[in-house]
Amino acid sequence: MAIVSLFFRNKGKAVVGLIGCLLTGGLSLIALGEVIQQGTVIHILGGWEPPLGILLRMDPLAAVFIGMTAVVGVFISLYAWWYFRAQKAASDAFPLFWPLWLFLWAGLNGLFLSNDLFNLYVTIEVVGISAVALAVLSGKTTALSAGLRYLLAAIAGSMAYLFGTALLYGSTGTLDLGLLGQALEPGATTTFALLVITIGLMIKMAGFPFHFWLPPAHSSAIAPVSALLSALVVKGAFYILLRLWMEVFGVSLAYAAGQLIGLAGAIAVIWGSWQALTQTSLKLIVAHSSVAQLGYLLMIFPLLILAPGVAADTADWLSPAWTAGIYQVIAHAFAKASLFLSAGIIIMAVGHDRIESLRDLVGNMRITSMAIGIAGVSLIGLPPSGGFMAKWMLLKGIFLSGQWWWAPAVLVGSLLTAGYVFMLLRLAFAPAREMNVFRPVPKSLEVCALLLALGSFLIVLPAENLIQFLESSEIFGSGIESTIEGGAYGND
Amino acid sequence: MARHFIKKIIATIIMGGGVFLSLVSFAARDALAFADPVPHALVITGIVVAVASAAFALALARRIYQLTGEESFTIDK
Repeated sequence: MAIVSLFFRNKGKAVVGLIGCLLTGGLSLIALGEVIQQGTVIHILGGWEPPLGILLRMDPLAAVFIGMTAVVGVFISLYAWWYFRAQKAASDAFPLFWPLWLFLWAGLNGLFLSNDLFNLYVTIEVVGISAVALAVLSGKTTALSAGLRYLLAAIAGSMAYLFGTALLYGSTGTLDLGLLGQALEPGATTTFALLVITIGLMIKMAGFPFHFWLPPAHSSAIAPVSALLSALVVKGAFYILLRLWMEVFGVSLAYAAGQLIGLAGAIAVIWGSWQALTQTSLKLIVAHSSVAQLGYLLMIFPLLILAPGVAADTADWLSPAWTAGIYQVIAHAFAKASLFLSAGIIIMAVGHDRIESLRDLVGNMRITSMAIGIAGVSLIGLPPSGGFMAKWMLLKGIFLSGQWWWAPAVLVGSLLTAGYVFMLLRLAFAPAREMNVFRPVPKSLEVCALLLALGSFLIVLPAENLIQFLESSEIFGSGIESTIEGGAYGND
Repeated sequence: MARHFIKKIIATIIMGGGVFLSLVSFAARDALAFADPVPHALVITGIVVAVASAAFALALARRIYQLTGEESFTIDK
């Protein structure tokens, strides 16, 4: 659909693009339904089995990610459709958004389905380049500069990932994830490959200390693109990291490695939230908050790598840790998309996104302020939102496993998040100081943002079914028993 | 660390070259009379992707220079 849309003139591009988005979303949800009924679906391409051929696998974990991408993607597409139509100048309609977004979506779906190191590389490249192209779509110098920084970081991350892939292929002769999991043996090569791949993927998901590219890139993009980047693109890299750590590198992970990743996550949580507090531009606040929320994802790794001597069966904190990770991914996707879309609505209404413009938002744009409020609550982690589920499960896993030192980071993060969310809400309720002209904004845009925010709450409802569904996949609820004393392999 | 655009782009291209070279070197397997074709395929794909990314980066750098006359990333807060 992406290529088809390129053949049309500007207006046609948007129509074809939207149809493509709805089709893709529908098909993704149908696939999710199939996995719910049948269990893992495996498709062997061309009939060649691994190690010669590659196969696509959709197990419940992949299905959940694909489903989330579908729902959030459909809403962002609808928002983009109305957003571009509401722009006054035809040049602001950005017809190239649609082919690029469809490429991005295709890449993401391919990423979730891939079961093969090199396929993962190709799909994450497709995602990365489409994402950068989308980020620079507006053509403004801030966006171009931020986009170049993003592109360079993405290339560096890909090179690191490819190097690790090369080492793994050289040492085992296979790229398929399942075969690699069996064939890998602990050794210097494997550890170095793990290190390099992890660094590459952390660059791509803006994990501390490689987070520098995210705030400028996500804040200077146009509103639907910011939502896409924060909600979906960074999750792709996290998905690969999770799969590789749990399925492939089981033999050679040291306890210290998990702790190190968790430390990076904890610092990201505190640093990102702190930075968000000091910003004066709404989009920068939301972008820094993305860095922080992604840090929560990294914090589940130390819980998944068990200390030496602990068996996976007795570790009852694994299930909460996995639940926390999945819920954080989904809740953050919904909440962050909603926040960025709301920021876009505000920019459309007022012309800029300095937070003073939020004054008396409640009087003028009720639906948008409600969306910001609900999404903000999910980010903080107040019940009964999806964010609460995530952070509660994370704390449960932390305390059950005895690694109490992560708890202060989670709590401080929530506190700081509450700080900037309440700052926004206080301004929204404050009386206007000067006459701020709020231009009318199409209701449909506001409704999209609100529905996404509500989505971050509604995902708690099917929680039991979701967990049951996920537990049918082998990877969910698994832990790595580290047979090597922490520090012997020196991943530090 | 260098802030100039072109220096950074050249650095990533060199990094790419190194990775591809190491990948191709794995094609030499002692048991076989011929070279293993899989790394060749991987490297070709990788080179295509890296060239496209480098071209994109250069186009962005050129556009930034046209619009603002800047040749390096400015120090931002």
